[in-house]
Amino acid sequence: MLNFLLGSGATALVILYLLLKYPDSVEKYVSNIAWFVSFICNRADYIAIKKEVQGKINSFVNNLHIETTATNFTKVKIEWANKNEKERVDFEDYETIIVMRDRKSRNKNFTHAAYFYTSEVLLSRSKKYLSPNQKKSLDLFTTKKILDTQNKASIEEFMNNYFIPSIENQGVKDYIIQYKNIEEVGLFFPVLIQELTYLGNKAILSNKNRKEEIIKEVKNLISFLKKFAEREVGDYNIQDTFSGTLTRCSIKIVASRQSREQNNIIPQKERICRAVNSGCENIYVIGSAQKENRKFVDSVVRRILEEKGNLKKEKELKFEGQVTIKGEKITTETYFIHLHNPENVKHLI
Amino acid sequence: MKNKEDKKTLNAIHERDIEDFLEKLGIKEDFNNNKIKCKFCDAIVNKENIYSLFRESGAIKLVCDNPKCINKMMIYIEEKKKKNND
Repeated sequence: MLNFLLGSGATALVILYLLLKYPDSVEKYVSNIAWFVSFICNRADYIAIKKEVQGKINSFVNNLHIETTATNFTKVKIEWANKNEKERVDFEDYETIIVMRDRKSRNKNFTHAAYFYTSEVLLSRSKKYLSPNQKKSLDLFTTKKILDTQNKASIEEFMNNYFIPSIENQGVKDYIIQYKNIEEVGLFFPVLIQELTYLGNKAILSNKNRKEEIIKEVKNLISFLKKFAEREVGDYNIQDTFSGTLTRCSIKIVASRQSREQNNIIPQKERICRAVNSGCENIYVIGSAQKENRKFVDSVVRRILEEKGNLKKEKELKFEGQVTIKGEKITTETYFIHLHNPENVKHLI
Repeated sequence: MKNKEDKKTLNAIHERDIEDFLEKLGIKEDFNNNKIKCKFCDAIVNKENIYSLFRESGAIKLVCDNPKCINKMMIYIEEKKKKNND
């Protein structure tokens, strides 16, 4: 009896730990079980749909929190409008209710929910200032990313019904091509989405005239990142700093093999400090994730932080990205550090 | 609408509850008699093709699952909400 109690107590503790530590992953497992149960009891699909949409979208949001800083991306919660205890017929004007279907339409359900989420929730503050093509392209590209990472089975449905028809619009297509280039080097979420999030937080009370200015600035930022993404390894002539009215950021590559081997920290440090002095709010330090280079990058950043007390190290991560060597794209691991200078932040009021 | 856990609530209805729900909203009969058109195209909205519903000045609007209409709805709702906030 004692053994049984100890055993079930330990199991309960493990379950509790998993629930607290990985709630979104647990939801995904629960949804799989509920889909299975729905073969016997079709009402189990209420739980399956709810847990699947929440678990998968919120897992994607968790990844965003790993790749970016600055803002808490909002998670999602499904509420059944017609469930007995929370029946609502008094919803407000323009509050939308979407229809979910049984397991035959599992992929369609998720596609609808993911697209609805990116359109309504993701970057909602920034999107107020973007052009329709900028918004649309971001929604499409991000939804595709959600499906790629969380529910590959929905991709075909999404591509055929939303993505392909939408890129008939040349403006949307042009943006998507640029995002693809930026994403290939790994900078779509850590830099572009990061900067757009900052921008949304800074453009307060902007009037319509400023909206045009912001649209142009975002267009230029995307173009800057695209050109940077296409650079050849060793090409140091490419523009690495973007200076707009609201967005001022710089991407600094550390370091060449020669600098690293000679442990030439000072020139690298000074190069980055110049960007800070010129008013950059965000400095993204990138380089090879090989152990020796990582150590070198860390030494450079440590020296910068010692010298610039106002600078904060916001994020440090490793990701896979492509680099171009003699026209050939090679996948490599990139080391990335985001430095933020709150003193250079300017709000548009 | 954000709930207390700072999560965005996505309101949903299961297809098998639609009729009950529309009855409470007073439009079940019109819906079953194929009298309700999509807000964004002329297609009749029925149980097979309904994507969403929302209120507009109190009246219930239905949207079909044609992706063009879904896109139009996203833009329309956003503009209306923005106008209301202004």
